[in-house]
Amino acid sequence: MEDGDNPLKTAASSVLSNEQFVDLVREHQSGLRSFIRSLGVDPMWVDDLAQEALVIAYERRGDYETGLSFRNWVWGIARHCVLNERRKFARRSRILNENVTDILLATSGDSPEAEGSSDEDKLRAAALKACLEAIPQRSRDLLRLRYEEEMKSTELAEEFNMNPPALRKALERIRHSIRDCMEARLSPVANR
Amino acid sequence: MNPADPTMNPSPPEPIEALINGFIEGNLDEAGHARLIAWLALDPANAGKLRGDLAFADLLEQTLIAHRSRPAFIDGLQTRFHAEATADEFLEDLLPRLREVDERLCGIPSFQPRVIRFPVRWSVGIGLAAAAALTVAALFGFSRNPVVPANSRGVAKLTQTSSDIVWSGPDGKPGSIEWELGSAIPAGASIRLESGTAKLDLADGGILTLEGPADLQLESPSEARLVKGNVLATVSPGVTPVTIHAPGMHFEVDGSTTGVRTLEGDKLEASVLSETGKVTAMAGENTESKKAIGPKEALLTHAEEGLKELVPVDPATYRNHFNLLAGITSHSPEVAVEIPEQQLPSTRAPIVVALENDRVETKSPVPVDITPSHALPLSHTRNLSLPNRPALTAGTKMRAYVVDVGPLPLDPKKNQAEEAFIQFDKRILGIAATPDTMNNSDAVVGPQPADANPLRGLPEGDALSIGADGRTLRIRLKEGDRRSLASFRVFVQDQAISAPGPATGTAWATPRVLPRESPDLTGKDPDGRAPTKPVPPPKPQPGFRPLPLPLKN
Repeated sequence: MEDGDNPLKTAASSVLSNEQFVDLVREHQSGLRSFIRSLGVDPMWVDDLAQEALVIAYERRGDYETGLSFRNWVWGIARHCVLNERRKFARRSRILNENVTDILLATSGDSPEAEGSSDEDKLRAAALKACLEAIPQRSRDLLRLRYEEEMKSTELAEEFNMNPPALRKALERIRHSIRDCMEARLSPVANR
Repeated sequence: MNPADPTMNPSPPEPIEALINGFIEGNLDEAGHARLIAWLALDPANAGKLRGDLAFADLLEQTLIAHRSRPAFIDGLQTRFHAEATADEFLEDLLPRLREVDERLCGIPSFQPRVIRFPVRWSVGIGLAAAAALTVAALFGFSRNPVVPANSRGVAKLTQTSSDIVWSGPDGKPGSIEWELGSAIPAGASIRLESGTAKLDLADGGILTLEGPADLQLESPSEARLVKGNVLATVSPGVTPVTIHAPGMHFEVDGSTTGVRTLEGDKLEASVLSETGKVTAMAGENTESKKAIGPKEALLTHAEEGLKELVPVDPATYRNHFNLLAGITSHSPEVAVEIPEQQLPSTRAPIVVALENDRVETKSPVPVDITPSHALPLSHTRNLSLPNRPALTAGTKMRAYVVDVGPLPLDPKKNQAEEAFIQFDKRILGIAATPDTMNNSDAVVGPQPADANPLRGLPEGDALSIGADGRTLRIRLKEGDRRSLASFRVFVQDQAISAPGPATGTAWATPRVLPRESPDLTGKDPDGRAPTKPVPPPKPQPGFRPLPLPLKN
């Protein structure tokens, strides 16, 4: 369900009900996490920041103007969470590099609508699923061990009888090929 | 379009792709970051590309990594809500429905994880905790005071609590989270105590102890936010420094034992209680406005006015923290002290008695400073070598108590001293009242951590004596400075201790303020008799009561 179809939009001045909030969380959680990651947040902490943003959103649901997009609103909260992370004094930073995040924040703009919609999230997920099913078995094995088993490059290199740099490049190429595959699948949608 | 086999593709990625991939993988060095930043600065579209690549990397991980999957995220989120908003009726509605797994976007059959592994993120552990919490909730109909069960991951672990601990809910709201011993505390969770003391071992190596009433939020394995109350941060040299955020201030504790407490009027106090290490205090977000606090120094700050002034160290505030660190988890129901003349705030107690070990048996002689038959002045025993001091004989069965003596707010100009009596239910066998004898008897009583109360033994000017009944300990304390928190150890004849309840044989002494010219009681009653003040009859003691009691003669 896109925000435009959401009855919330027409229920002006009403506060988000719990049921509506839960539905929106389930609908947008994946895109929210990807958005936070796109701002240079350490992958270890992406889900934590997403949770923080959703907790804040729930606590402030009375501020939510139902005429606006929930996605826009929560993305704004998440952006502020990352900004706050950038500003606060912390020995253990949750972002990968402060300067890179500064640039990513500055260029992401104040209108997170540009980051897509939940419908696009679904299409991307479906395209990714199809592309993952289509890759060769050897690449699939490599991804499985890298992500599911969380093996390190050195362990993987030994498993695949490759040196670690070559293994890393192989992984890069697999990801690129999946990305290309996804874009090819999504291009008709994008051009519509 | 089907992707070809990229592992066989010989074409190398472009250099910038290597940089981007290095950034995504988190293994870019400083020079790499500099090159990436330079590339980003060339064209705003480059930042768009990087954001797109990062978002794709995240989607891939959400799809392929078990602990980043949608169910794992939902589990983590519901536990977060558990921690953040337990008092809200929303939970009762939210949790069951979040648990419904929507299969629309989940699962790629050939990539379903076979075994969920538990890597560094805490959310998987939290998922387990959430599942357990839901089970508990189902059993108890979503009690308003949920008990959070133990699990194996988090930014900190609850390792110890005092027996008098009472959990609390957010200010002004009902409902509390009762963390179980061994619980992994996730980032963002709050520890709220109405009373009692709790010890948290941070994943990065620091130790936090919190005494109620208090509200502390854990932010990371080395950061916590003190909303109210007092917290003691113990950071051994070489361990990752711990940062305590507090309203308007940040304190970075490095290689020291440091207490931070909130005071009325938006004030804060940070005290370095150890002999080494340091604390850096920073006001607000302005890290330029900072001040170093050295050993045995305390800094008073104000949330809006920033760094204020150095003040005397006040270790007595943290005595219960030290007791917890020393392994003492319960206060003694057998003894209590009332000091009607004392002027301390209600949260402060000049004397606290706590049971250290109820089953001590000596295997070799244990030197002490005072026994019923050897009542030498403390100043004298300090100069004796351990073998020359009186000793408890091998094979003695006894209980060990620790007595904490706080600073006394007496007026030095009036030459006052304060006197108190503690009566035990069995005969006192000996007292270790100097650092040497206390340290030496640690091995008998039980292992003591190096970060326990560093101020051991009584100052030379204070005096102890054992009354003629053999059970009454007479304490005479000089007016003190605020650094005079001290502790000593009392060995009492062994007796099976019943469950907490009305104590038998407990009598209450009546301390009083004496003029300076009172007879010197050092080491022994001048007349060898029991205290002259009548001892009130025993009072029922349902358990430890915080001192002082508001009694007036």
